[in-house]
Amino acid sequence: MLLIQNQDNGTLFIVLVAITILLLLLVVVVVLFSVFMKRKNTLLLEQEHTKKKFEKEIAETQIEIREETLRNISWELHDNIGQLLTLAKIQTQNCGGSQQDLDEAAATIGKGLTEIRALSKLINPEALKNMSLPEALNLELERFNRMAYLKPSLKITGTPITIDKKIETIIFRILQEFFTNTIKHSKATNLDVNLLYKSDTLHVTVKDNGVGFDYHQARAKNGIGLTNIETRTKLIGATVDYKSNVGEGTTLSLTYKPQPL
Amino acid sequence: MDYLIYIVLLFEFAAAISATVYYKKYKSTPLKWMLPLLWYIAINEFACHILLAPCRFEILYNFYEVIVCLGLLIITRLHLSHHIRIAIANVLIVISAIAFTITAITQDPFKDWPVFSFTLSTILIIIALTLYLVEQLRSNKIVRYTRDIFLWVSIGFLIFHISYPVIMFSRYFLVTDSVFLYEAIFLIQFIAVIACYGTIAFGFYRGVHSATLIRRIL
Repeated sequence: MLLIQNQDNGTLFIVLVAITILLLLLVVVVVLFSVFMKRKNTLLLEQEHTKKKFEKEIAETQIEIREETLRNISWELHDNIGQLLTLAKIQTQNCGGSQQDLDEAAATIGKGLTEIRALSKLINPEALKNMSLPEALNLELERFNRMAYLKPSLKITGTPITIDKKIETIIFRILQEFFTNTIKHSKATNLDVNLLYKSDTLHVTVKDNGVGFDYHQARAKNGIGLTNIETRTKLIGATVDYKSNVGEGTTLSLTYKPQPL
Repeated sequence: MDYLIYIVLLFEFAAAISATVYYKKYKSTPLKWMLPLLWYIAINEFACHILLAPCRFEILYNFYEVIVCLGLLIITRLHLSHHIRIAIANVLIVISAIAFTITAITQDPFKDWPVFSFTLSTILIIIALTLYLVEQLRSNKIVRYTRDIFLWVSIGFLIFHISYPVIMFSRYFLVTDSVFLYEAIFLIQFIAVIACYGTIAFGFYRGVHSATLIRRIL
């Protein structure tokens, strides 16, 4: 009788242990599931927030770019086209009816028209969308050449890689910002742009022979140009580096590696 | 020990009533098929243990096992969305159906209980429910998993289906005349059943409407 009772207790113990082990395993699975789900949700939330932040920054940058473009147009109209038209006006006023003077005035007006067309092309986002980065840069540098601001050069090495149009526009705007700074402040006579395409990276080097600047001093002044360049570079996940000393010109190096967003 | 049956029935009906009361939360999801299944479970148990007792109609239990096992497998399969996991779930359903069919042919469904096909189906249910958990882990949606009704239902059925084969095998293979052992095993089964249906009933209460299950970021 006692033996049977012991056997029963043993059997019951085995059943209890087996069920307990299985239920403990279930608890472990549920806890692990809960932990992983929590972690997954946190990661997804972070990803979603980063995406939203990126979209917001893109939108802000686009507004900034638009405002800056308007400033550039105003500058171009006043300093460039405005000057040409003023010259044309003076030429027509002083021509005295001679054909040669009229031709000169017509040539000046023609120059003004060419500038308006080039400007229109460069500020039109649709026109820019249909152009590759080298094409847009070429157009911009040709304009500088025509306006005799300085002597630009463009060198392209390697086969252009596929870059998202939005990113390409931002890269172009970064370079445009640098060109504007060069023309406005550097007193440079040469501007060399070098595009180097590697299998998965784009390296852009822009070098001028102007007066240069002290980076730390410029940063301390919180210059909008530098801030814009750095913000946009960060936004697209690129890196930017300046080499400049007072009296030694400035070199900007930008590296961009396309990555899936 | 008879009063334990009433407690089991109480929990089974509680799960069915909870599923009915909160039907609005999940009526547009495949979980809607759980409502008739839970009522069937409760009514069948009531019929077998109260209405038709002390006679034991084995066919009622056999139908019950087939319907519950296949029902759970099908409902779980309806919750899957990845094609590979759906294919696996389909295979599990087919295996379970074949196992029950073979048992029905080889055994007398009016006398014998389908031990092996039921055990196999129990394992298949565990696999299917695991597929659902995997699907939740792999999804790229931010799911409020503690408010997912089917997750609670899955955990409930997992508690039952993990412990039940052990209980069943100990009953069938450890042949002894000990009343103590049978009562103790019945007590374990009782705990497993009330934990199962208690979790399910709580899940229907705790869960949220399917439309608000996936968190949206504003």
